Amino acid sequence: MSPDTLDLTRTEAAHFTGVARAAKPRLSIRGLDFHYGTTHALKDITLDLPGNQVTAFIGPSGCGKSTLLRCLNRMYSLYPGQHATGEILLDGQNILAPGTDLNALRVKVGMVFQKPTPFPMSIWENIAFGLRLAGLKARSELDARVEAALRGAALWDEVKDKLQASGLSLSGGQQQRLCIARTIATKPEVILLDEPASALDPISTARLEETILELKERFTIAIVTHNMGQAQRVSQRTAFMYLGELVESGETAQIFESPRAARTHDYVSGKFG
Amino acid sequence: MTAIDIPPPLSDPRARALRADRIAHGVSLGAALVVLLVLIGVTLSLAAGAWPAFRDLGPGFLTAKVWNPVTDRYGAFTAIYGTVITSVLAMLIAVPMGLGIALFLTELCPRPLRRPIGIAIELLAGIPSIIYGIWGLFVLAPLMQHTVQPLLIATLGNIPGIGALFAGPPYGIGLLTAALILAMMVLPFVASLTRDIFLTTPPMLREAAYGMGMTTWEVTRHITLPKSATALVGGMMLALGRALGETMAVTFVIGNAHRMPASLLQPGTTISAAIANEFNEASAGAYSSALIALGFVLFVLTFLVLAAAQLMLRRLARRNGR
Amino acid sequence: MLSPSPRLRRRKALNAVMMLLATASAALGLIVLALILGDLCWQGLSALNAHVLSQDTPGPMSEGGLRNAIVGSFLLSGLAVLIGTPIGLFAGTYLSEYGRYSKLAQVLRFLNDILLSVPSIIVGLFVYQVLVRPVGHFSGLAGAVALAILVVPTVVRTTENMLRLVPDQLREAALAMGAPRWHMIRRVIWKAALSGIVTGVLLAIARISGETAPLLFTALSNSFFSLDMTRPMASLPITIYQFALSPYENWQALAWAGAFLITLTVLAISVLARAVTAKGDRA
Repeated sequence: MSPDTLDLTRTEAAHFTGVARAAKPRLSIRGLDFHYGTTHALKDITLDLPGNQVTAFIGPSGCGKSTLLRCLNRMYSLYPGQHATGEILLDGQNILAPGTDLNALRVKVGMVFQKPTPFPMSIWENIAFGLRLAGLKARSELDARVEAALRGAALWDEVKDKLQASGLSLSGGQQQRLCIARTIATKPEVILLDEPASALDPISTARLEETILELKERFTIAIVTHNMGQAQRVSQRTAFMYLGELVESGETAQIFESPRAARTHDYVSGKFG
Repeated sequence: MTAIDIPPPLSDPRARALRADRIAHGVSLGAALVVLLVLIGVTLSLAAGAWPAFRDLGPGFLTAKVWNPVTDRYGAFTAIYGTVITSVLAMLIAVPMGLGIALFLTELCPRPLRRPIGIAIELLAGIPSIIYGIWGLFVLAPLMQHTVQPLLIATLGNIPGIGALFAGPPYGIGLLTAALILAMMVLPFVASLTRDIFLTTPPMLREAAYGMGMTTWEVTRHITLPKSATALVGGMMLALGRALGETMAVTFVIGNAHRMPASLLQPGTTISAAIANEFNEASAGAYSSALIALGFVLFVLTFLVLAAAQLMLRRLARRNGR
Repeated sequence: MLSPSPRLRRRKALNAVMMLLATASAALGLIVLALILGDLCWQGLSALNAHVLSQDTPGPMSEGGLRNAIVGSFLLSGLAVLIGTPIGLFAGTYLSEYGRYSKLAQVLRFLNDILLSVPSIIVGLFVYQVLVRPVGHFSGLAGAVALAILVVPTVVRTTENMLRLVPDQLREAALAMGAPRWHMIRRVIWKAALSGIVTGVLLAIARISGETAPLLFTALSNSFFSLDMTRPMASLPITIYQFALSPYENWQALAWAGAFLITLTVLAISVLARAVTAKGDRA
């Protein structure tokens, strides 16, 4: 990682030029293998994630889609006995290379988890958490960024009068959007969503999906989902995985309407999974 | 949403945060190592203090029954004997009673009373041992002397064989009284531990057993106890470890006599009671070294019991997948 | 058809006998424990008066109180907690966070659980050997260190347990923001586990406030009021020990009063610890 990764103005600039760069892949996965213990969980995955698009990872439970997502911000590095080989290029740099600054990487690649994970502090503090990490101190600046992030996650109107309330006091759907707001507040380049709607009711899910569609204008998004309707609604590209292998990937419409592989066809048409 | 500029940070907060992280890592590692250092320190300092006694008295220190500061002749056997006898006796009393209390609390007690009684027992487990000691001295010892021990001498004392254990005049204080106090002190610990272990038996399993028409006792005997056997043994050994090293509850009522007691009613001593009683009066040199050697023996003894208990509980935890 | 067979009747009889035994042992145990508390309250309350708090320990057969011992206990326990809590907190954090999967942490966890139950008189001997013998005299400082050695494993154990209750997802979420581990621990994990950590410290205080054996050869005692931690210092447990074993009635009465005060303190702290946990669970 270059030492100026936290220079968010550069990231900022990337957002404005996002359209021009859309064709170029933001994340390139090249020959990725992943092991934990004696399990070979990902086998020779090669996949591009284009900028400013939503890529959905689908497949039956245990196919490795969440594992793949957790490679993209090196979350697996927390645990012993897990390691990935191959290359994952973010803006041309291999994030699997030894010596990669994981903190800086995770500022660039944000993540939202299956269950909402509000920190045990106020709504305002939850969002200011990452901004303060980046060195932002001025209260007015923080206020503005918190508001912008909450608006971006479509949560502002619901919480603007209780920013000092505990993040844990929100409903499940609100908590999840709080986590999204927390993630986008620091303006990452990529956002990883790990089954973000699996703990939510249908109405919250619909609102979350709207938010995701809005966010793709500014971010590159990867979403793991077990809900095929959701994949069709929010993603432009889809990757179907099975038993640790990438079976096929392409335009979402193509995957769902004319899949090339028989397995993909069986899965998207609900024959197994 | 419009983009908002973020000003370039004044200093590099990431570098600062990472430095703080490295420092915190080092500090927490150092703090954790304190535990290791204390145990090493205990071992070394006691071994060093005990060395003169071990050197002069040899392995005979462990088996000799004499303890005479005047002639500087010391043997640990009487104290080790007292320690083991009182602890084992205390466990023999406390474990069945603790099991009974746990069974009562999990199966028999009216539901509204379960929580309050359970909490009361947990609170009692935290009462310092000196409280049990002072009660033993002022209340239990006179009771033993005037009522319980004469009765024991008159009945059990006449049975051939075990009668010798209950012979002699009723002193009030002595091995049996110390064991009783010790039993009362570990009872709340044993009871609340056993209850917690019983409660970890999966309800489904017990319901299935009841569904086959088993009685409460049969469910306890055939399902709950076998299922929790390892945890129970581990827990009981923890309690034994406590009893072995307990000082204050025992010192008040053991009698502090370095004579080999033939009967449970006679005064004796334990390792910890001997140290507590004599250490501050002991002249430097052989006497205090012999007392530290006693301490070293106690340390090794409890370390072994506690380590065995921990290993047992750990194996269990691993088997249950933590 | 459903009339019980002789075998079933036998089984039921056995069940009844065993249940009776369980109930009897529960009743006996609870009665004895209640008796102890009852005697303690009765003897303690009858010995309690204003002098107990306002006057220092008397000579035999004269008026006095426990002021110097109470103050001494406060100082000894307070200093022990000040020394032991940070060590325990950071060590527990190491076991749960930085070193979670390391072999070293496994060994330290094991040793800590042993240290938790090492006889406290052994700790007293150890501190005597390293802090009293070389200096040449007993001191309150040595007593506080001995008590701190008892605080550390308690705080380590509860801190690690409480930190482990914090779901890993919260850790991942904080790290996914690019936070360094220390930031994650301090701002998120400690905060999430705060009530549990406080409970651990309270339990440690409850544990040491009645400890006698580790003070016997370290702080020793002092018949006079003293705030000097470098000199011998009186404490409530040691005073109870000495007075209870004395032949003087006024000393014995003061021993009961002291025992009552200690029990009251320990119970109050334990109840407080429970209240903190209950509150933490609700939040």
